[in-house]
Amino acid sequence: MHRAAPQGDQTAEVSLERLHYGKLASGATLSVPAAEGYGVTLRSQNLRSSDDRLLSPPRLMALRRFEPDLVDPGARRRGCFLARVSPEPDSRRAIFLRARFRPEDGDDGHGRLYQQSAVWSVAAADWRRHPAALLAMAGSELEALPDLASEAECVRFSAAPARYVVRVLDPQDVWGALEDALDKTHWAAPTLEFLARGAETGDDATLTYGADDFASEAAFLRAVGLALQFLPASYPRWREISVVSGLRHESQGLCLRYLPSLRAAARTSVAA
Amino acid sequence: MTERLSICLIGPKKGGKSSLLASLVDCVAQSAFGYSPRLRPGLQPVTEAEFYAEGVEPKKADLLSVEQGDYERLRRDFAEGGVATDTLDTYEYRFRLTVNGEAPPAVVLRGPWLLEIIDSAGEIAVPPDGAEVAILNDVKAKLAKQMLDAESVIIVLPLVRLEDSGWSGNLARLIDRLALAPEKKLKRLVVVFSQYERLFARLGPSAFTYACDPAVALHVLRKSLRTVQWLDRLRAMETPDGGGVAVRFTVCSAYGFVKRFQNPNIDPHQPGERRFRRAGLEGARAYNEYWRPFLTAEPFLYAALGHDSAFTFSYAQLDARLEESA
Repeated sequence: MHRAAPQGDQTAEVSLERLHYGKLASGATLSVPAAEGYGVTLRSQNLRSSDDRLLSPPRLMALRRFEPDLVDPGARRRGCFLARVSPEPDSRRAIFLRARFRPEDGDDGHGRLYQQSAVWSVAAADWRRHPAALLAMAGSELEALPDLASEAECVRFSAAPARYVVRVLDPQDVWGALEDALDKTHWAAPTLEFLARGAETGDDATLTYGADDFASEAAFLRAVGLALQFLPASYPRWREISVVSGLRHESQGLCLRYLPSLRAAARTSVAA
Repeated sequence: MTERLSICLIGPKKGGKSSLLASLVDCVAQSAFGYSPRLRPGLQPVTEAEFYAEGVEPKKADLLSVEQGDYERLRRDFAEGGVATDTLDTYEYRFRLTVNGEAPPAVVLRGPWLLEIIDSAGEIAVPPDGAEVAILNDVKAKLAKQMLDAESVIIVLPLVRLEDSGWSGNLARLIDRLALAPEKKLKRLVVVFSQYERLFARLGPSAFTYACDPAVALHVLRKSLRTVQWLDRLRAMETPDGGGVAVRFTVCSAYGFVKRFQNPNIDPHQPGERRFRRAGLEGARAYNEYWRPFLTAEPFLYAALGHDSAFTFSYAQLDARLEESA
């Protein structure tokens, strides 16, 4: 897995470790064979088995248990999304998580549901430097798909980390884009205010956007990526920022959230 | 006096542990068990705080409200087809059990009971034979401790040919380890065969009548247990040297039988395995008109009360016909 930036731009390479939890699947519909049970089904070579607990979806989401009703109805098929610095103390990594419940008899099936998730782990410094690029990339490419039962375990547990080449954004370009957004959109000012107020007060807070604000998760992640890219290096609560889509649970710290089925009329109660 | 009890649910994956638990409160509420109707048990989900509080009394407001929290979620998931329990933790559900009617004094005087029922993924305790299942060590250790600390264990097995099940070896090893653990607090162990309704799928409206005959259940249990490797190990647990554990066998069905029509409650016109439901309604309400679970309270009530019903069978009852024929 290797992606390149357009020629002529300044670029940087980002290495992504991968971990999948769920069940192995087979066949065209990716249904789960009767003998298959839950487990970590893929772990890239630089992760250890002790990372299984640290990167488990409930822990990353700060939940006792990940449940189907926590996934926004508009995000059920693809799953919810989370980006944050990993919650272990003094963590040097950031994680991107996609998690969902899918039927054991395939995505269009009607069988029992089970949990399927995929995690990317990157250096926290990369997340700090390239939030816009990483959010765009994770938003489009991180999928909670089951691994294949036919694929040998030794292959799945020695997978090389994915490497992506991202374009290093010029701060002037970021400011220019944000200035445009401040003029033309209604998300830019509240988002920047939210981040500024969060730095000032130190309180936990969640800013929730809905379908009236963004047409898709990709649009939300593009917008939030731009806002985070604009934050100065000295921003004090960077490690507490989480970007969430499709999850009806508020993270601690500063949480920027998108719920695709949330409409303006319902927002007051959900955001409360 | 309130007695606190811990009950561990174990068994292979897809055996029906969570479904059994999800249908428990409805089974008690509908008296769809093999105990005398005069027993009048009451069961109410409680929170963790209520479970550990001293002198817990049911809140009056709770009488008028639906249950909230984890158990309500489990019931909702069951209504929507079920969710496979993950291997990332074990999950505790807590209840307050009362016996409001007639029962032997030895039972009644112990109550009410606060039950902690522990559910976990089948892969943790009974993984498929020969499979290398990567389970988090802390979860394995937690479940092992919960099993050793539990006063009762309920082993939930699907009603399949056990010798071909693909997990019977690991189940036998688990029972061996439990039997040999000197520190266990186990007093009662119930083996329950789930999905009992499937045996009667071809009997249509006569299905419920046959299912309600304890002699039929006893025959099914004898047949199912004929070839299992761990039967003698369980029997040894009943001896004083083995811990003096009371072992019982029973059957149950979370889907149960259709009210009025009496056939097994699996709607052939719905995709997947779904119960019959009232069109136009959503959630649990859609099923209530037709759904009568079958004996899913049995293993829990025996595990808590140590009181037999018409459908809990001891080794003596299982052995009776063998002795007769001998």
